Amino acid sequence: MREKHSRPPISLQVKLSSIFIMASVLIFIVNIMLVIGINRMTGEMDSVYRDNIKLNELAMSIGEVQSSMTDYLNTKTTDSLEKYYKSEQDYNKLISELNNDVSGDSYDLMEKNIRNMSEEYLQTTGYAIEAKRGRNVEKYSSEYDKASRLYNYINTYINSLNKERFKSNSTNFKDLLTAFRFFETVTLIVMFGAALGSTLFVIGFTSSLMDPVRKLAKSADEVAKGNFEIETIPITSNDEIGVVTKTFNNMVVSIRQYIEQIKENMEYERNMQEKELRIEANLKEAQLKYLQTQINPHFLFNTLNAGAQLAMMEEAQRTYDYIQNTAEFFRYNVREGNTTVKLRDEINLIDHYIYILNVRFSGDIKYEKDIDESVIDVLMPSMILQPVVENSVNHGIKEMEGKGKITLRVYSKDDFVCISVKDNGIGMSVEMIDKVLSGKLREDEKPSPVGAHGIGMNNVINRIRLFTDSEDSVSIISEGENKGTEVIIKLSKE
Amino acid sequence: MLSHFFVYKKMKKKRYSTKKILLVYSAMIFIVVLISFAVSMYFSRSIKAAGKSGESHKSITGLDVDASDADFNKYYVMITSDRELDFWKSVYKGAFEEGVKNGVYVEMMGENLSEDYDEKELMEIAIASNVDGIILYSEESEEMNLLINEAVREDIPVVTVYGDSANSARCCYVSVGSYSLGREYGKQIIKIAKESELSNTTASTHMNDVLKVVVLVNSYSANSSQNLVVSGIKNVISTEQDIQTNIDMELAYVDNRNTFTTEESIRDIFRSQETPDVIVCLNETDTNCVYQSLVDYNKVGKSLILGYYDSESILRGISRNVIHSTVSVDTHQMGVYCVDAIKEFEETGNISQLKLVDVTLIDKNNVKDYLKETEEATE
Repeated sequence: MREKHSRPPISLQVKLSSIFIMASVLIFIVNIMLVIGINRMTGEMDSVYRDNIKLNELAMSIGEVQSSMTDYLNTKTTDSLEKYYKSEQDYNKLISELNNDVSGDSYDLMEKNIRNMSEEYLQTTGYAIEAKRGRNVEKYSSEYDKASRLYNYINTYINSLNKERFKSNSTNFKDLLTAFRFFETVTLIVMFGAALGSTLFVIGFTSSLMDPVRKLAKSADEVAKGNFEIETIPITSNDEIGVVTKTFNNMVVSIRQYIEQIKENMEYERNMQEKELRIEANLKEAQLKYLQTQINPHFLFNTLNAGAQLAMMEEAQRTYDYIQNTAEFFRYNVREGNTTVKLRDEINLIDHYIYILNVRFSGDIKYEKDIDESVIDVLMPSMILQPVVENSVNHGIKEMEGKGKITLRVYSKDDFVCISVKDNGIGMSVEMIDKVLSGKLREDEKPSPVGAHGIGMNNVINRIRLFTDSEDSVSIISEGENKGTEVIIKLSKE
Repeated sequence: MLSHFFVYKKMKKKRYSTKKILLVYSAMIFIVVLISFAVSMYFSRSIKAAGKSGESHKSITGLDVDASDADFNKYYVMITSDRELDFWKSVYKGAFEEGVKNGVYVEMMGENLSEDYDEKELMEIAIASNVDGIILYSEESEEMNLLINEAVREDIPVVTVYGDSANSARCCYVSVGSYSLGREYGKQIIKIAKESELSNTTASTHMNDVLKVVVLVNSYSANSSQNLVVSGIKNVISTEQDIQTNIDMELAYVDNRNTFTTEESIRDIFRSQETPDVIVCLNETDTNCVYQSLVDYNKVGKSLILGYYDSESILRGISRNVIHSTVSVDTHQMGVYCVDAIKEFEETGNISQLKLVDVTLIDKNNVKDYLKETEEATE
């Protein structure tokens, strides 16, 4: 693969063109061979009867010599004489091409004889013509006789040679014909073979070209159906198809990545929505519980305010303070819409609450504060600390007859703001702590709420956890029975 | 679609790389070129073979001597009366083989011609063709003498064979020794006479029996050789004192002017004359004709033939007791002598006038050897 990439890319056009050219070249070569073969065959066939043609010419030529001579001897016209000279010249030329050597070939020897006789013949006819001119009747008739005899002999020789040559040439021709038939068969086979070969070759080559395209199409089809889990297509060629394949592979990988990311985002959003819903539901639950327990907080608050003014007019300062604290306490509770408050507000609420309790229980509860003022503006859900403190009072120190002590500490630790509510009451067993934290405390196991608002620890813990998005944002520590309980809430500073 | 699918499947199984395809392609071209080359090789070979078979020396009398590769520088012709006779074929073979050895191509004149010319015409052709030498069977005639003289004027040496033209300018005469041949025939006649005397004395007593002997001679030739043969026979008979039988010898003239007259003349002899006891034939044709006539006229055993030449049919005649005996002329040697004579004349310009070849007698006792030989030869 890497090797291929180092080569310069061969374009699809070049590949397709070369297929066509190569197939054509194959057929072309076969045809050239055919043409050359046929050419040679025709040449050979021609040569077979060349000798016969030559001999026929010879026979015709000597016939002309004889007839023109006879004509001249008969008529003595200049025309016939001219004709004689011309034909004699022609014939002379023809016989000069004949064989004049002794060889082992009887046909060659016949040619030689024809040549020699023809020379003699021409000489004789020459004498006859001369004698005719000299009006030597006896001589020219005897020369004519001799010439005629020679003419017959020569004709016989030519005919015989012609016949013999024809006989052997016919055998040659037969052999040639057999060879030609063989050649024809072989050519036909080769042509069919070449056609078949080039067809297979083209099919093979185009298939090897189209194979990646087919795979690409199949993969694209899969992708179109929504299946992105396909194998990457191997890149076999370095042409346009290779490029497209590579791009396709990259595209599929990219699409997969995008889908993954979108899925993650959706999951996150869903989680966020769920969380918000749950926070709201818990708050609603708290408010509902509160509303169930408080009949008409506005009426109560107004009533308390009226009581406070009345105490002021009667100059009963302690009553005024008490009613004022109580009114503040209720006012905090009846606020609307503020699900998130500052820690400072929560601490203030605890102050009011403890004051009210101390009035009710004649200052039995010792309340200590250790607050890091720099962190008390941190945000937290409302109605958290009061139920915790209430829980400490109710279950921890209510029975202790004035020795109970509540310690509220706010301090920063690492990135967190820690709120610790500690009592010195009856404490909790480890099992109890686990049950409370995991929310598995059954109703009958709960200590009976005495004067409680009814917002349970369960609700508080859930809301803190949802708000901080951390399971260990609430922890309960108790060292054993009668050794007190500490509830620590960890808030993020951010 | 289906085939497309098939190919697709196949391709999937074997991935064809470009290199492989190119390899297959070049292999295809290579095969095509190879086949074409092989075919053209085969073709040119077959053409060559055809040319060779067409032009090879297959002409004359079926000689198995391959002369096509030999190097020739002289061209002799042989002119005889009847080319088809075994006698002349054998002579020609001897001449041809001797010629091959000496770079001379010897042709049986008229063999390749479509027309049948007689000896005189062939002689004219040979002279006009300006050959290098003529071997001629001649029967003493004026015309032939003139032709021989004309050839010699044209510087063509002429050797006569078997039949002579003693009055011409021929340079040499190659033949059997006619006189000694005659003596051989004479001895055979005496032998026959003695045998018949022996059988007669045992059977009955016919004293002073006459043994009728007919010698067939050609009527239209002044051939001196047959005269010599006849005088040879006469000489033996007249000097033989040891027999009581009178030997009555006559000459019967056979008309040999053309191809068919010989046979007719011989049949005439059988029809017109009293059947002779012994018929002496002085050439192959006569022997064959007499042999056939004896069989046809049912006179086998009544006449005895003294034949000439050892052709297969004559040898069979001997083994069947129709022919008493024949003389075997060493025809091969005759042919050799002819060529040698012309060669010698060309080189030296001078040569002895007569060359004689060997003669052997074949009768019942040794005919088997010759039959075997001819059988082997034909095989």
